[in-house]
Amino acid sequence: MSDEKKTTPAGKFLGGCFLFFFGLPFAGFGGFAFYQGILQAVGRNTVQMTGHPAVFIGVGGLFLLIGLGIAWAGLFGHRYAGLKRPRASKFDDDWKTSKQFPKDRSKRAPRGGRLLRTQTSPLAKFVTLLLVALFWNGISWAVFYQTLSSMGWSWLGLIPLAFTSLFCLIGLLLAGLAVHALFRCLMVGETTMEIDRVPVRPGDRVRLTLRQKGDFEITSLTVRLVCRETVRWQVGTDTHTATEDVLGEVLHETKDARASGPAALTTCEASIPADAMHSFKASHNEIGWGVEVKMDLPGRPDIEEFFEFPVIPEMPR
Amino acid sequence: MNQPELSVRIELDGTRREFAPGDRLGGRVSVSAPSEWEADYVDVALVWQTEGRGDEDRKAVQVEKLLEKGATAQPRFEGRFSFRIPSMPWTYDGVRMKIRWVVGVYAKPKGEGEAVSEVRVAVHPSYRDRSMPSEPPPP
Repeated sequence: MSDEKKTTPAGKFLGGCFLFFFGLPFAGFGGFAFYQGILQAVGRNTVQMTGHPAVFIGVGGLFLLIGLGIAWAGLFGHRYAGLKRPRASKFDDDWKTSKQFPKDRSKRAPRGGRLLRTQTSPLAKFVTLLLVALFWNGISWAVFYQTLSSMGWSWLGLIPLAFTSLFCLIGLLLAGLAVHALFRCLMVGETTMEIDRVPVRPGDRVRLTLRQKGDFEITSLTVRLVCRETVRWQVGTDTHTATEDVLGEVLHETKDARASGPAALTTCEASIPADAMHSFKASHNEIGWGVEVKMDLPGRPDIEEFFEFPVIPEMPR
Repeated sequence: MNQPELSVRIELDGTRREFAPGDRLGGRVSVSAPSEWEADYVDVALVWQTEGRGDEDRKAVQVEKLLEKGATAQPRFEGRFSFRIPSMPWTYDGVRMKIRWVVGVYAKPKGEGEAVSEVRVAVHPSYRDRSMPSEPPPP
């Protein structure tokens, strides 16, 4: 039985080679752009270039650093692979750092209960997407502009243009997702779920209150108590995730509701089964308890939120 | 020192294999070899591990080191161990994942492969043995 996954020497060598040769084109492209940018800035450029030298120096320098970093990791990364955990024994001291229970992320509600947090807030999602879209589009469109302005009008010249266009399309998609997230923030107010107490143990009965900011029609509303298994596994460099709802009890279902600011949209009670499993969190396997809320909204982005709460490993008293 | 092939064995006290958090789990281990040998380690550990579609997570929650690196062991080596069952995770049999507990002895002579003997146990509060006083579960 092995306590941690081992990589064979051949695997380490191939991985190192892959990283090294993956990093070289980045470094080469970045170094060339950086060098030409500097030459252009001092008026001694050898290649005719259009565009501001600062763009070449900035983008080229960034790519140069990233490429050198990847190539360096390919050459020397294996030396540092085991340094974090020197092992004096079969198991070392890993039992001292138990992190197999998810943190309680709820906060105190104004009316005395606890406000549950969503896995990702709409604002955080928007900000993340915006930053990614800005970064991606900034680089993609700068390269696209340079390619367009320096290309020769021949079939061969269209190849780099088509290549950079793909990156620009991905950038537009990211921008679209960011705009959708912005609409979610602006057109649909915050959704909050209040629970009467935390922590919860198997066998407990809890009272849940759903509130929706804003004033608009809701075509359908579903509130479910969910126990969800999440597993992750690695295939090559890809991480795959699968989820399974081992419990999905509908607590509330209605057609034609209306969001109306601070008033409760619905209040319902949920029972955690006495023989249920507690919350659990490890690197690749999780068991999470929460309340899933789905709302179909006419003319606005639909709402689908998961409010997680911890179920502690204690039997009912 | 010529390193012999090891034969390891773990036995739990009594016949009980189901435990509640806070219970004591004890037993003994024996490691046999044709001659004296130098150890890299001989550990007894209480371990939980996941099974299923996801990559394995595994943690030794308690470990007793019976022999340290470099120690010389007699041909027949015996030792006792005692663990307190922690509060979590409970044994679980889900759809995409399972959580299992094992108590095992892991012995490795210097420069040789590891010899392992494990016993599967189950952990759940409903297994509390009312006839035996148990310690409160650890926080």
